[in-house]
Amino acid sequence: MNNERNWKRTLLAAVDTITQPLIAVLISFLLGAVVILVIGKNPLLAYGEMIRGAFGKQVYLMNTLKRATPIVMGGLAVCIAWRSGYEAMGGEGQMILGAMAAALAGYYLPLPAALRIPAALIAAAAVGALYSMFSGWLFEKFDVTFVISTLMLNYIANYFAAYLCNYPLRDPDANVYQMQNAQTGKLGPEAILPPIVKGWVHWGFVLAIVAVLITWFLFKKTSFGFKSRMGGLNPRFALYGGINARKMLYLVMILSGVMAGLGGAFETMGSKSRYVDQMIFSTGYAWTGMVAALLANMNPIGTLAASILLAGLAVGGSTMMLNMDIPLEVCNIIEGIITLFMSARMIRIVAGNHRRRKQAKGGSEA
Amino acid sequence: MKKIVSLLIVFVLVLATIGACAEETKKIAVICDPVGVNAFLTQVVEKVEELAGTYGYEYRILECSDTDKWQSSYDAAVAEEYDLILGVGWQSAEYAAAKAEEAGDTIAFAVIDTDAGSDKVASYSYNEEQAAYLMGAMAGYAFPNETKFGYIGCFEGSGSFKYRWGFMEGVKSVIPDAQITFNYTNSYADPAPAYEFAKQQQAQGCTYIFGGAAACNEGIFNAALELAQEGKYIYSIGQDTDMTREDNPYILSSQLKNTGVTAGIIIDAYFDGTLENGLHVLEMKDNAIGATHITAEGAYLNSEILTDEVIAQCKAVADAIASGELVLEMPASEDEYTFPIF
Amino acid sequence: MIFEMKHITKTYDTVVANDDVSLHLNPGEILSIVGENGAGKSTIMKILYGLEKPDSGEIIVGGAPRHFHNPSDAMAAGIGMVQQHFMLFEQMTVAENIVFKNELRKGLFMDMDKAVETVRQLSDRYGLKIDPKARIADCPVGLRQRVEILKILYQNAEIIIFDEPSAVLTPLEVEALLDTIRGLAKAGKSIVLITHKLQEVMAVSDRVYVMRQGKVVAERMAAETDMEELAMLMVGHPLASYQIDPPVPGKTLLETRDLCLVENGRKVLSDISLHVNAGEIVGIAGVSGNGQSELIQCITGLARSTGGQVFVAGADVTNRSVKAIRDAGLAHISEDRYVWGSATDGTLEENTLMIRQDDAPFSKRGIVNHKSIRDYAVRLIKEFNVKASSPVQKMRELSGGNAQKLIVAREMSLDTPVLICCEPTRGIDIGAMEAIHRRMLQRRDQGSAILLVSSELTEIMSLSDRIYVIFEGKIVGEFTRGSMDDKHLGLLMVGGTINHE
Repeated sequence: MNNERNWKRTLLAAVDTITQPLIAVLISFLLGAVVILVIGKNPLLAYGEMIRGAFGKQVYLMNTLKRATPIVMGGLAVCIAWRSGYEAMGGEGQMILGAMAAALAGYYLPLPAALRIPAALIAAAAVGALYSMFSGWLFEKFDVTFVISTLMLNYIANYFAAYLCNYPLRDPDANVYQMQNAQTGKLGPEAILPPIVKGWVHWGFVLAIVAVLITWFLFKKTSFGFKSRMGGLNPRFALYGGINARKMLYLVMILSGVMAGLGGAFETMGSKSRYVDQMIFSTGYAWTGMVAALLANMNPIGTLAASILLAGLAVGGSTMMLNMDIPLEVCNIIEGIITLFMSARMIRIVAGNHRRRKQAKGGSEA
Repeated sequence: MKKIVSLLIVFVLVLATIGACAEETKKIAVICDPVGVNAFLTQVVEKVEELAGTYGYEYRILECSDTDKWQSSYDAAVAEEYDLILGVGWQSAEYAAAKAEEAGDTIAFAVIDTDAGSDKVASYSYNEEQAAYLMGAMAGYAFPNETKFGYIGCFEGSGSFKYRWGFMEGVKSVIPDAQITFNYTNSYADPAPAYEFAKQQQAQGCTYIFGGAAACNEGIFNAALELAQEGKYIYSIGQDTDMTREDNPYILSSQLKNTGVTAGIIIDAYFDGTLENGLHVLEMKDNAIGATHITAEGAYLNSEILTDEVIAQCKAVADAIASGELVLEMPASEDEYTFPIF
Repeated sequence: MIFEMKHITKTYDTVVANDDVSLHLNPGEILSIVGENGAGKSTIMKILYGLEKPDSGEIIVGGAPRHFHNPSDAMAAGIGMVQQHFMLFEQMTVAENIVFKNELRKGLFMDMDKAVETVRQLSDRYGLKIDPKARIADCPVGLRQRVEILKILYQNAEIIIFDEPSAVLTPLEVEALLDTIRGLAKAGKSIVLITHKLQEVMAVSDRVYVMRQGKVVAERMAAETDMEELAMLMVGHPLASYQIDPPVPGKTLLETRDLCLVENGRKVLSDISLHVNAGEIVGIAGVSGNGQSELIQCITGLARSTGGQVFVAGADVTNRSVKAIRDAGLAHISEDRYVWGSATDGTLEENTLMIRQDDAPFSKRGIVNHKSIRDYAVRLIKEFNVKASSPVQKMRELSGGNAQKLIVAREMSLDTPVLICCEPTRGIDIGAMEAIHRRMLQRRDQGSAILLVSSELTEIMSLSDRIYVIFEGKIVGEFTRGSMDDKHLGLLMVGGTINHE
């Protein structure tokens, strides 16, 4: 029972959780290599190009980190909810509304310049939290499973945002030759998260790292983290231990929604300077974030690493395509295979939650 | 294993050769949405491929599978030192402008069908009102006894004003007391509302419906086929590329926007050294806009409606616009323009 | 000798599960292996059955050395095992389950009629009455176990291993099981029985091995030993009988008044009024499923009652939250340690922290103090003799008895005036049981009010100062220590009435 043994045990457990995703990533790249061979290219050169295109130049590295920003926020939203036993998949909808809220607050709110950024971030966090709470409420009141409610809410959010930026809130500055532009007005410099240094990634990435650290702190160092983990491991035990399940549900959903909403805001304020139609939906940030969280087994710091890897895959693909004429689909295939591996893990978690909750309900109506 | 090794060697060699002659060969990157069978984009790709034979340049098509890829594609194309970066579609405007600010002196930037609003980007857009006017005039000549006409568009915003205005003016030029009813699908891709609107407009007495609703137009075309079985006839037109086809004679024509021609203009100008930055608005005379059967050939001609006489009348209008004989002066905003709507 | 295991050693991680174990089985014999949980008796049988591989040692079956890689190998050598957890297909019939993997075929199809007939013959031959066409989902636990046994007999096993077969059975079913075991031995099968229930051992076995800490510590002929000796050999020291002083009456700390619970229109609890005073252990005797679980859930806040009141230390806590009730001064050892009482994938320190997560020094303003949490876990593990290798190991790695000890440690360390103990010693060995009983008595003597719910009548009888008998959600009798014998209690528990002479 000495400290060295505890430490060893922790290390072994860490290695254990990392092996499976590592193998998944390796196999995915191997299968990707087979596809590259089949189209008659050299996989080693291709992967070399991909790595160079993701991390090899400052502009590439910065693009990778920029793309990783909303992904890691979506991943944190998943970490927070799933660790607590709620398999919410509403990150996408919350992120869309957060992105839209930030775009509107930054553009329309008549505030002094110094308050624009905080106001837009708060608006995005609040909208994300409310939307997330709504699925929590559906779950609590009507027993609507998260998988169903959050997926439906994602569609609603995307269509709603598409309507807004196509019609009533379309960019008022667009001229007659920009008639197809489906986007809101461009944010002024006072509402934009600027690059840390010129040519670097924007401050949203720094805020995302802060969010990772906060999440890690919540998980490891607070009684909230303990309660949410217990609720995830065995909801009946949590109930028996006097943990208020209702309060935890809403707290967790709010926190998860805040992360997703902020992820949307970072993308709006750091990258696009406005809401562009489909900017969250077509990129699949929230889903990539979920894959990252699954790869990291719900560890926030691991999620950050996995997010950067997955973002690099997408960004590096462009260079691979440019220099080797390899279709971008190869990257999609690799990401698809990783997702496939991780979905096995996901299904296990979702089914486990479902079973435990069913038992907990059977145990009492409290 | 042997095969793989020989493959490897071959590709290393190929790469080496490509690398060796990279110095002389110009490189062109086309950045656009996934091409697929989207005629708006295939026209560009075909043109770029065709001209590669003439000028001997190397090219890549960067298809942006999501909105974020627009930026990373632009970044990659700039970082990999392409010589001409050609963006197709409205999403390219912002990134072209931003990257041109950084690299506009060494790399040429051009965008098609939008305005980058930058003096370091050559923006190519269109005077669509001219083609819309032509379609309005065609409606008037083809149905001289009608007074009620329909219009189905995507969104009511100011962006589509030039289509409305052109069409209305065109109809009015032939039938001064014409009335037009307007409906909007609020979508670029959902045919269902267009289908419903088409049936409603038919019930209100329209025979000719201007199809200005992008992919939603399919709804109008299907409604026309169905209504024809009940003995009620409506006629419509397509957008951007030739949509006429034998199995649906109710698609009379298409309002054309030829992105292939545009790409050709840009590439020719680039190699002539005459590519100029700023906004270029292409017109009927450039052959970048026009109409099927009037300024270009079509797949199928419904000669019962578009008789030789009608086509001759339309061609006269097209010639007048192209030659500058007929000048269309659009009001600056919709508020200054009124037209009878029933 | 039908089989012999020589010098078997098996280690997991850092724990030696079997240390140079040698044993043998004679034909037609009923052999029992007894020992506390974690003594290594299940491991040695898993090795024999091909579920585990030994680090060293030799297995000889039918005169030849064998290496079993999986249970199929063992089965082929005539060894079958009835596991604690049945491996049956719920939606299939008894006959289908029995012939599974060795189906009788007619052309391409399974010959169902033949299967049913075979099962019927088998059940007649061994006197195991069963309907071959019944669906497993409709069979009670005792019958399912019978199906497991028939499955093994169908595969022509000569050696049948029973792993804790009575753990899941009702007393009546246990009787039937013991008859079955005797019958099988009479029919020429050789039986190995793994258990820690000494009554069963004495009732059926011919010979007994006692295991402790991975070693065989004794071998006895059943006729030449008794329960006391076996118990002593198992725990390593003689079992003390409890010295219980007469209760010192204190004030009432736990009380229910007319507590009712109606679920789906069915009255589960009717007007339950009971009280527990300081310095008193009060038992609730009853056959499982007569409302004990629901009563405790209503008291502890895990379920909402539909009528009546609950008082803890004088405060009305009726239908308050679990936390409010616990804060009023109640601790609760739950009836099922894995379902309610712990998180099996949580670490030991997480499991000991539960309930106190918001208390100083473990957390201040929501920030936890890992050192104090670990120290606390280590202290409880030591104080309550939990056999564990680390406070950060997972709960599921503990044996049942040790897990229970940890839960008892957690709840007792709360030092509340009221302690509710539900099945505090279910499925655990004598050593752990005795330790827990002593703790309960100690708490009683210190002035706590203890409510004990147990399906073991002897446990209730030996510990309780007062006993309530519960039947179909009603209290049907109340007795003080010594005023009642177990026959009368038993009668009340099944709904009989006492003939007052």
